[in-house]
Amino acid sequence: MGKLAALDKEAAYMAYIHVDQLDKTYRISQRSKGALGAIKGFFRPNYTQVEALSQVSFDIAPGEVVGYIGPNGAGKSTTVKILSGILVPDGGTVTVDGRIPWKQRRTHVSHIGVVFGQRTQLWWDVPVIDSYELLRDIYRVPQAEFRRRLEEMTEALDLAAVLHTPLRQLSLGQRMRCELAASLLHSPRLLFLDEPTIGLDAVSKLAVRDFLAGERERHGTTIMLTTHDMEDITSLCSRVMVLGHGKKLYDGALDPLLARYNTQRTLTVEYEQETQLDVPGAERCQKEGLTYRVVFRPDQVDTARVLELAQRAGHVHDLSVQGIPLDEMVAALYKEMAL
Amino acid sequence: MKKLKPYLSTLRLRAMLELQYRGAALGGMMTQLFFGFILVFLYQALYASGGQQSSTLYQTASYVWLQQAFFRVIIGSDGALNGEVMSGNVVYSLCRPVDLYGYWYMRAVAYRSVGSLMRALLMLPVAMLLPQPLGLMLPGSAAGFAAFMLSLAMGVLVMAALENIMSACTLITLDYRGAANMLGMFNAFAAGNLLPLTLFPDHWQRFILSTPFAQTLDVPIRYYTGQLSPEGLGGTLALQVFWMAALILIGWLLWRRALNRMVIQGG
Repeated sequence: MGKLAALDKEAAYMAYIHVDQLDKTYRISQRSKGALGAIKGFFRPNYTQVEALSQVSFDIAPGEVVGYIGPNGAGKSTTVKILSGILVPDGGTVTVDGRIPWKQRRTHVSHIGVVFGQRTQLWWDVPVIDSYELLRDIYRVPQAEFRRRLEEMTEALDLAAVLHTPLRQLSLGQRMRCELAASLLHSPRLLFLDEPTIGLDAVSKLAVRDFLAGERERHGTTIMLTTHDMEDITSLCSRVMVLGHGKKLYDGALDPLLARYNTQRTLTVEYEQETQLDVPGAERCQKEGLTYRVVFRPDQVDTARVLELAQRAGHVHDLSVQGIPLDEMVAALYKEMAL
Repeated sequence: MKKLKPYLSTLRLRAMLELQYRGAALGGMMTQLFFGFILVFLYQALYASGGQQSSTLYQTASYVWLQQAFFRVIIGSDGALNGEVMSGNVVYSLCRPVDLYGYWYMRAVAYRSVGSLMRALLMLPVAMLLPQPLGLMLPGSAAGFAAFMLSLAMGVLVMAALENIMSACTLITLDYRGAANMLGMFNAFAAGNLLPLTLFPDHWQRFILSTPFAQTLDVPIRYYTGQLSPEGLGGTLALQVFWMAALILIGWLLWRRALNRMVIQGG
C-alpha cells in the first residue's frame, strides 16, 4: 500500500500521459452503388474525411487506472494507437513519460504493453512458450527476471496447462489469457488494454480482472482500458473518460456520471402465503404467484416507505431491491449525448 | 552480439517453424523431383538434337537438380507479413522495440535458408543416385563446392533483401500479389528459373549476370558444376555484397516511408 500512496502523491504534480488537443482525420473512400457507381468511382474516386479525434485533451497520472468508453467508432482505438506510437496524429501534442510516442517509437514501445483484444500477437503454429521466449529476447528481458515473471503469470492466469501447446489448438479464453501474459512479460510500466475481456467466459473474465488489479497493486502499473464491458470498468477503474464522435464528453468518476440515469428501483418480494400488496405512487406492481414485482422511482416514493409497506403486507420469505442495470444506464447516457 | 539477440531469436523461431512443417517439406520435395525429371528429359532431347552447347548434359542436369532442390531460395514467400496486414495483427509487430525491417528480414532469411536446406537434404541424395548424364554430379572441385556454399549463403541474403522490398510494397498497397508477381517474373527469367542462364546468348548473359536475380541461385550453382572457376569468387562476393547493401538500403527507406503513413483500421 505504501507504494500506492507514494504514487498518488506523485500524481498530484506529474502527468505521466499528457494529451493536448489531439486531432486525427481518416480519409474514407466512398462510391455510389452498382456498376455505374463503380465506373464513376474508377475515373473520379470520391473520398470523405472522417474526424476520428477532435481536440481531445487529458492527463493521466502514474498508477492511475482509467477506463475509456464510448460507442463503436468513437475514436477509442485511435487514441490507443496514437499513444502506443503506431499512428501519427494530424494535430495536437502527446507525451508519455516525456516521450513523443511516434517519434521515439522504439524507446517508447519498450516501456509499454499493449493488448488488442481482437488481434493475435503469438505465433500461430508454435507452442506458446516459444513465442514468449522470442518476446523475452525482443524486449531484452534477463533470463532470471523472465522466469520469475512467467511463473507469476502462469499462476495468476492459470497457464501451466497450455504453455507447451501450439496456439492454434487453444480455446479463445485460453488464447486471450496467453495474449495478456505476452503483453506483460517485460513488466511494462504502462499498459494499454483494448477490449481485453472480449469473448471471455465469466471465470476467465474474473481471472483477468483480478490479475490486472494485482498488477496495479504490486507494480504500480498505469492502465488505460478500453472496453464495452461495464463490469470491467466498475471493477478496475477509478476514473472514466467518455468519448463520442471523436470528442471527449466526460472525464471523472463513473458513479456520479451514471447517478442521474439510475432513476428506477425494482423491488422483488416473495411472500410465504397469499398476500395483497399495494404501493401508492409506484409505476408498476405485478403479481406472479406469491411474488410481487414493484417498479418505483425513489424521487417519488421513498424506498424506505416501499419496504415498510412490503413488510407490513405479509410474512416475507425473500426480498431484493435493484437499480437499473449498468448497461441500460450506459445506453441511456450514450442516447442522451446523442451518440 | 547482444544487440542482435532479438533478430537472431526471430531467425531461430522462424527456422524452427520450418522444421515443424514436415509434410510441406516432403510435398515440396516430390513436386521438385517431378519438375526436375521433366526438365532433365527435356534437356536430354535438346542435346540429342545436336547443336553446340556451352555446357555438357551432365552439367545441365546437375544445374536442374540443384535449382530444384534450392527452389525455395528464390521462389515463394513467407506470406506472414501479408497475413498480418490483412488481419490487422500487424499492430503488434508495430509495437515491438526492434527495427521492423531487420525483424522481417530475418524471417525472410530463415524461410529461404532453412526451407530450402530441408528440401535439398531430402532431394539431392535421390538425384545423386540417378544414372550418369541425367543425375547430379559431384562438385567440380572442393574449391568449387566451397564457392557454391558461400555464394549461395550470400544469395539468400540478397534474396531476402529483395523480398523485403516486396514487403514494403505490401505495406503501401495492402496487397502483396502485384509486387510478388513482378518479383516472380524477374526471378523466373533472370535467375535462370525458366531456362538455365547458360543457354542464353553471351552478351545477354553478361547483362543478366550483373543483376541481383542471377546472383541468388544461378551463379552459386555454376560454381558447383564447374562452369565458373572458383577464382572468380571474390568478384561474385563483391557483387553480391553490393546488391545486398543497395537492396537493403532501398528496402529500409521504403519501410520507413510505409510505416510513417500506416493506418490500422477498425477496433
